[in-house]
Amino acid sequence: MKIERDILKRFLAFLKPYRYQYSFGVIGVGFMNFALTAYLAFVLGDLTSSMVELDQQLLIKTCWNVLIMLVVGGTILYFSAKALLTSTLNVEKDIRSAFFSRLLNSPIVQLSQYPSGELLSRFSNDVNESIQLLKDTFQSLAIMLFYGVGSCITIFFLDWSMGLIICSLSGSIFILNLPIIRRIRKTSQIVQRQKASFLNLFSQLVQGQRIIRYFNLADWIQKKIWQQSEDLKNANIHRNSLETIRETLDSISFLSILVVIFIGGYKAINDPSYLIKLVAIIQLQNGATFLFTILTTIYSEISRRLAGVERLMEIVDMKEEPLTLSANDKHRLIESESGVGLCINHLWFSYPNHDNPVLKDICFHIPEGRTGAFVGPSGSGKTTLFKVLLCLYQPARGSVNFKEKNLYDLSLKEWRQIFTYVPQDAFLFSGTIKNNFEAVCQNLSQEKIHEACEMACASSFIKAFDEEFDFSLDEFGSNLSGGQRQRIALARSFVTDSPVLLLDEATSALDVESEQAVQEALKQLINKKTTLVIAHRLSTVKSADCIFYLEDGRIIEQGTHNELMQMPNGYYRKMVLAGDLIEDPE
Amino acid sequence: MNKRTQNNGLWTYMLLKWYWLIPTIIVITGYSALKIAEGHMLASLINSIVEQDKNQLARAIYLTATVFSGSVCSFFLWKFLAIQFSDRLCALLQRKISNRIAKATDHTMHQNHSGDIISRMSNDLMLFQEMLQKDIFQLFGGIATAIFAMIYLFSNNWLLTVVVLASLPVIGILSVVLSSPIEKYTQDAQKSLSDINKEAKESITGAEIIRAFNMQPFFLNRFKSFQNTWTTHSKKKVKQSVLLLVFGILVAFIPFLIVFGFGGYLVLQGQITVGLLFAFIQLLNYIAFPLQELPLLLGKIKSSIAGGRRLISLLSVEVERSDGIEGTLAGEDLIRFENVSFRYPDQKEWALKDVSFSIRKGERIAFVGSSGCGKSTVFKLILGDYSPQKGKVIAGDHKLEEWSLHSLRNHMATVVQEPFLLDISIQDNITLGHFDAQDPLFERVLSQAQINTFLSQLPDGLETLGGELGSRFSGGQRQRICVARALMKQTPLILMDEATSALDNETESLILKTIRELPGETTILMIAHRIQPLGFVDRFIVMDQGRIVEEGNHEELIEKNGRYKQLFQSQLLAVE
Repeated sequence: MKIERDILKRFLAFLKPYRYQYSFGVIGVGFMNFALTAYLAFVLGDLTSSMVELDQQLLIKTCWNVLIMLVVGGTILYFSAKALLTSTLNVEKDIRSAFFSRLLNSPIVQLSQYPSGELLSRFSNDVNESIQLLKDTFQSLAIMLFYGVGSCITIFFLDWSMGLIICSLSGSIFILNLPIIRRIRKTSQIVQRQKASFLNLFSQLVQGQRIIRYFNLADWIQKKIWQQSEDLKNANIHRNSLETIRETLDSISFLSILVVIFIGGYKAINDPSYLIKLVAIIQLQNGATFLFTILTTIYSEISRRLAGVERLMEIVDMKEEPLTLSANDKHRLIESESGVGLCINHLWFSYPNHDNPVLKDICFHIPEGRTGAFVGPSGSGKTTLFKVLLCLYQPARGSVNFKEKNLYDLSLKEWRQIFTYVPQDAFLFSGTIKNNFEAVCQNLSQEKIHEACEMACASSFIKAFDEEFDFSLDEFGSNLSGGQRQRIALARSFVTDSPVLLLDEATSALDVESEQAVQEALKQLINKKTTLVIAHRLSTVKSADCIFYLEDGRIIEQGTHNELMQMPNGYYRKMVLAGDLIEDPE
Repeated sequence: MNKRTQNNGLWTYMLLKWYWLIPTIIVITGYSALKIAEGHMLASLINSIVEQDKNQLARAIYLTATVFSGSVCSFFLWKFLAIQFSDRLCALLQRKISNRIAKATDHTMHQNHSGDIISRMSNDLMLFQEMLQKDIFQLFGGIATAIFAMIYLFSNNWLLTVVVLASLPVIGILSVVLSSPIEKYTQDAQKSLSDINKEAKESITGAEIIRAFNMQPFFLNRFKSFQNTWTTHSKKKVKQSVLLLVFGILVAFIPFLIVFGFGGYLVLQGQITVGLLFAFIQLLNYIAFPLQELPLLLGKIKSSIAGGRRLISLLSVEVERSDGIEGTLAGEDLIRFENVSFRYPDQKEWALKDVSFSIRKGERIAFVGSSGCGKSTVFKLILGDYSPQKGKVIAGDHKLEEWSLHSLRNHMATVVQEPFLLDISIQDNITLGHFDAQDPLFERVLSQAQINTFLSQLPDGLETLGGELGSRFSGGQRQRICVARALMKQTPLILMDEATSALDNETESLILKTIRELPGETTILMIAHRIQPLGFVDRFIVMDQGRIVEEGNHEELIEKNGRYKQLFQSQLLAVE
């Protein structure tokens, strides 16, 4: 409970800039709900007495009064509802901005704790749920307080004995309902579980359909599904029946109207002036029953939406990446051999909350303009090494030097500008082709883009589009072929002036025409920059100046292709002989 | 299939549970009538008070209590019956659909995305169930009550009824006019919201690249501009919908004002009683209901019906034939292809062109060739997934078309390309319930398929569950379990499609050794990516673009200096 209050407090901080507007809205809406009903209740009393006493003047006057009240009340309601919705709209916008900023700026290590679907669902569903808390639930709460409580008080004011009757009747039904509501909640969980296991079974049926046919398992799985759907059906019927009992009990609470009319009727027969009060009480009685029926709904709504708020705040409360990494002694282990090129010394890395380091004491040096190839079994840490170099993951210790610069002295932005990263799968985003360049580097001249595309062999197909560089890409660039995507991504690497290229070679081949173009472009890029490549091709390793064989997070062999092939029991040799590197069709 | 017949199908399925549906409808009709009776009782209650008649009041209270209990009971019955109807019908649909899917043809499963089928079973079913349980009955009840109310009011004072009802269409038209721009604003806001979500999606998937290239400012700017568009549209929408809300409240008073103004006048004239006036107000609600709720309810029902139709269309997917004879895989040639040409339904290209070969009992055969050459298609024909358009496939003593598929598949065990585990224990995944763990055969299979090597790492050993779609195991582990499953079946014919592709070299060669040492009468067909470890097979069948181009053992084919040698050498080149 304490934690919930804490979360709610931090969440409500988003409301702070709009607090006056919001309070005006919520209070206005709640109050107007009561005011209109109460006014109507008394007007009805007047109308009734005008009819009973055959007073035409009063009838006309009251009708006018109603009209005036509607106009005044409507105006107030209009402004308060607008204030309520506008302020929540602004909060929604602010929350989404904060969330998005975390998506962009939080450390990858933290974000990758969540599957991407989970993050997205929080971005859309949980933001929505949280806003509904402000927009809907708190509004109902205000209405409950003003309309429900207000009606009760007014009834007590008119005739306290009637108030007592109404409140005790509605209240006792409410208490009667409590255990049922608790059981509904419990059975709902059972229904959810049964539904999940049914769907699990069904998706096994769909995804393993071939196996089920080939092994003649249809009857077997059918029997399981039959059983599961029977369980689900029974759970459903149970839950829904309880729900029906609750609804029926709620509808009985209008029983109090009968009691009111009965007692009030006798009173009115004895005292005709009581009739006006009676009509008003009957009208207000709705508010009193409403108070009790809405209570449980509001309670369950609040607890459900707070769960959404909690999931949302978990992301919003994330820390963003610092502007610079604080370097401590661990990161300056050895002053670099101040050689030219990229120099990595005693680099260690392990994931947070994991004991086993993924990278262990990595040391290597690649002179400027040269190429180092990294090979090794999958899971040996090659990709992690790249990510650490890009500072996507923060190294635990060790130093990274380029030329004379210790990268820890740079800002995170400058650090990353040293490298340009070409992943296996090119990532393009929606927008125009030009956008994809501008994102990397603002104020990019048209010539530079053209030049980069020329080098990446991308100009020809871009110029074939009617819109040329304004051709708009679908999500992930899915309206281009794999080779075209790859070439644009490469061109993007050309426009950055980064001196070091980190290349994760693709394992699967593209179509023949693209393949050649991409290889050509890559050669250009490799020649231009100091290159680290995760190699999958024989030709790549052969042309590298130095090969590093990684296993279990360590560099265990290094040398040129010829040197390593001469080690009789070498790991690298074994790997090449096993044919694990792709041979280019020549 | 046109819309009408599909629609009829939907109603036909609803009638499957007619013995719950019809009582529900009767109860709802009764409930609606009782609602009107409640209004009538209200009139007599008020009249007795106004006329200061205590006896009449007591009688009226007594009657009202009776009517009221009746309506509470019928309300309960309505809901209760509706639940029985909808939950039972949906369970029936679940079973029928599962049954159909389990027998669907390979082609069907290819045409429909598996995620789509599953989403129909979850989302569409949920919509449909909700509609069956609530919406349709609410619609029916609302209309029934409105009709009864109208009849009651007309028979009591037609003039007042006509005057009041005349105001309703005006209100309806006004609210339509006011609400029509909302739809457009909502769409606009929705569109920019989906842009915003897209932006979030890209920033999540591209998280690494965005950071690596310092792209954050660009994305932030773009996000902000989408966000601003969204705010503009949403503010317009808020303004309009608040207007509609207030208007709705004000307008809802108009009929009542008319009842009071005009009705009050009639009361003063002595034409109607005060009680009837109150009954009018009460019953007017029931008539106004369809006007307010109907569009919303109809929209909901419409989308649920669309969901229901998607769901029910699963009941008409094409299923495999169930006829045929019990054959045996005997004779000289276990499998024979005679001039088989085949193309997949809906495709122009022939997947197999004039393919002929025969496989003798006990042979070990490997199909090789580059991807897309038709190797897997040959397997699918042998398994009876498809029939060739030209030529014939003969299995044992009969043409494939004559076999019952059940019997055919009982004679062969298959390892498919994507290793699939059911979410049951490893032991059950392998034995499929036919053997127990003590069986010596089971023990043997465990070691043959190299499962023993990782068994000790599993939390519950053989009892470890497969997890959702085998997610708890690595590709190599799954493959080994699938191999064990095939060995366990002890069939005369084993088909293995890339069964060792995810294994490391050492495990692969151990498994291949097992296969090589299987009893001599077992016939094995393999599809393999890498040729080198397959030195032991009796015969290679080399395929290229749907044709068999070469056939023979390793030495013969090398001598031929053709496609095989080309494939072999390109894989060997790496070793130079």
